Amino acid sequence: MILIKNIFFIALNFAVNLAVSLIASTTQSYANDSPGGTSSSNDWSKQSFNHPLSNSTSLEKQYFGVGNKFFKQPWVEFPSSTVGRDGLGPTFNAVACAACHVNDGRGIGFINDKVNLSILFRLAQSTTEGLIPHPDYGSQLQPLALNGVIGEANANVVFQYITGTYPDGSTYELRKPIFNFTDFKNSAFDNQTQISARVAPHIIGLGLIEAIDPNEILKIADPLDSDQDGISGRGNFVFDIETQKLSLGRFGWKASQPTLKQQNAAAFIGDMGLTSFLFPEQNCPLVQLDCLNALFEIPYEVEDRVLDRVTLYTQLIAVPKSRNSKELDFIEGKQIFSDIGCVKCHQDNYSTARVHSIEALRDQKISPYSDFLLHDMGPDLADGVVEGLAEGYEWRTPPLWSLGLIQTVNRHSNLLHDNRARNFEEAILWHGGEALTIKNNFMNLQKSKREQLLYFIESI
Amino acid sequence: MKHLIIYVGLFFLFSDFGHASNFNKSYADQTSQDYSSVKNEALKLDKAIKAFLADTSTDNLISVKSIWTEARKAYSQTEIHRFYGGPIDDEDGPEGLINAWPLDEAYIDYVKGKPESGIISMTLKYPNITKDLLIELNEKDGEANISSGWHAIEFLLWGQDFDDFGPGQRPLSDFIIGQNSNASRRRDYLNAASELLVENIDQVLIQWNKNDPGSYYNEFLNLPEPEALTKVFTSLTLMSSDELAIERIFVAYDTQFQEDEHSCFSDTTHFDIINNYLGIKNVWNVVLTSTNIQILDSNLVAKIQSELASIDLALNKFKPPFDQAIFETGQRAILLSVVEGLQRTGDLFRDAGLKLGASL
Repeated sequence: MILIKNIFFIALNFAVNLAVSLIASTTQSYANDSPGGTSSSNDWSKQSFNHPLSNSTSLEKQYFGVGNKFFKQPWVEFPSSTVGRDGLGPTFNAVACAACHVNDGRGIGFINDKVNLSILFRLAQSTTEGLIPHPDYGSQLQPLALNGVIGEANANVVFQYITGTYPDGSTYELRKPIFNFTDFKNSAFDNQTQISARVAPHIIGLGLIEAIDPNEILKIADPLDSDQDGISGRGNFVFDIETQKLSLGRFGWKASQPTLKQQNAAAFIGDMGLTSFLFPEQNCPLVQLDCLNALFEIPYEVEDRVLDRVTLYTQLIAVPKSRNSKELDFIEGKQIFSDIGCVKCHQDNYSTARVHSIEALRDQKISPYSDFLLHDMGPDLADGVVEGLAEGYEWRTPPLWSLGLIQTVNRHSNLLHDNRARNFEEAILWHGGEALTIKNNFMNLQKSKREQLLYFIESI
Repeated sequence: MKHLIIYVGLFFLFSDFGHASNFNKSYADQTSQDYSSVKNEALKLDKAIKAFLADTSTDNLISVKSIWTEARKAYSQTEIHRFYGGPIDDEDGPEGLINAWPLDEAYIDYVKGKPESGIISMTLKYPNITKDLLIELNEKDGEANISSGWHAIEFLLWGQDFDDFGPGQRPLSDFIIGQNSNASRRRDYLNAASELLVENIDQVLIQWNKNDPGSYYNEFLNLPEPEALTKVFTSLTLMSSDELAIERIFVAYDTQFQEDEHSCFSDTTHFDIINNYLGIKNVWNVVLTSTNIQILDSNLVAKIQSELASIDLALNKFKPPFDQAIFETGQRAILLSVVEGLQRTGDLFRDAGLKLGASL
């Protein structure tokens, strides 16, 4: 009897499998739904940003797990029994990568008028000789510190609300964050202090971005706007410490880091006070005696192999498939995205290089919705901090893939470099500078068309 | 004829829906029983800690340590009930207060090179060490500064482990008033951390109470079976192929950081591993005995059983302590075989869960 029952079930399974494979083959004809190519992952849950490239090997999955652990677990004060992950501070922004990149997603930025740890502040001081790091706090503010050491300052925020009207008469409201600082450890900021707020972005697909040949990115750069379409776009050239050469920057809000390894090492030292072979110096400004006194003579706090594992981890995080790609609103929204010019900077068509140490990253057709170039975004988004070639008004086009899932992963929908926008619509309305014409194109759309565009962006 | 086969097949499929809640109930009962055992063990530990504080002797310290070790085993078996947002790790779940790791020892007490570090040394800032203080400090700045739970108690009992071949050796005098200037505060800390552990475990247990109609237990019972299966198989796959295989074994295997292990002060990580694994087997057993397991290809079940048998064998050959095994060639091979076995088992659990109707 059991045998007969099994046969029935085998038949049933066959029928179900047939149906499933038919559905799957229909889906494959929609290229739009895999922005990470064949490496895309298949989960839209809260954990959707925490999967290895779906075509990675089982060994890579093991290393992904190791890197993931170092990414998630808190670093602790030296000395401790957990020698592989001590050396935190003396001052820092957070004790773990994941404290800001929660679930590998995006920081919330603000909770009411409190600035959450997921926003950090880059600093500079204007002098007659030009910009220098802030004499008392360096180039980044670290609000937290080990016991016995004082944090550098606390940040609060108030919002200025700005209202406006679309040509069709519908209205909108934007909020502009005004940061103020209290509890200064040393001197207070003055009117020569330049401050740039930056939120922790989601970290999917970074390996794919790194695997794009620099010439592919630079071939659409147009620094002098020779084609006179109003969009220039230039690469940020920054120092690659490992190769000791200037190299195309592609990571960070200003494209100020050339490789994921350097980006990660910079975050280790800047955000957590952890030295590595790329950044061997602790960041205690000379005026902070308690910070200097808390230092120990120890080798690199992030050992080379730990940096390698974390870097591999960040290379291997998959991009989730797009949602709703068969819906009419998605298809029409995509057309509008192209028609009004969003796609000029938010580029959707790259191939990764054919040669790469990770096979899963080779020759992938990807849609990051970014050109990774710097653009003048206008005075409303500008601040006074310069990074490499990037002026205070220039920002790297951020990749849009999977931004719509932030709502699920991180339970907020804040956008732009300081999370001022509360949703995609507000983010578009903040665009200025080179993007002003395109923003105006958006504003001139019928309401239903604007909604289709937003539906598309939220789904990709 | 084809239609007939499908109809008869469907008949068998639906005829088994009469047992649909069977799985939900078996799993909920197992979980309730698991947390009930932990509660008993935690109460024993609290009693032993109070006896040790009343009579601070070497014998009583040894006894507390052995009771901690037993209690920890019971807890490790419950970790299979994580990863689906149940009472232990939903938004208000106390998992972080109970089991957070690694510990910033210097956040709690003195450490080598920092004789005046930690909450215990901060007499002026924190004049009284209470449960409320530990809760407050555990959430300080929304950060992961760990002040409570199993590993805080473990650190207080054993101290830092600088011995390559044995656990930490905290001197008894650390707890004797008059012999150590912070003894009284350290005693308060140990007592508060122990009472808090009991409370946090109780918080989970009451949600698995079958007699409370509003409990999670009863909510779970009423879930559609596929939803319950989704939760349990999410946990089975993540616990095997991710948490246990990679995070708790492969990481230390790979980094060879001697203290990159869960219970690093007491050198009892092998018990954590074995009991985490027992928890996986317990829940798989619930699946085998309470679901319509015939849906599964008998090959698939056989494969899982054979992987589990190989892991059993490997774990039997494993020689603790874990922090030494990661350096020794023969033991490393055993550990790697456990890792790979658990990874394959996790993948097979996933296949099984999907066939049984879970969405994974």
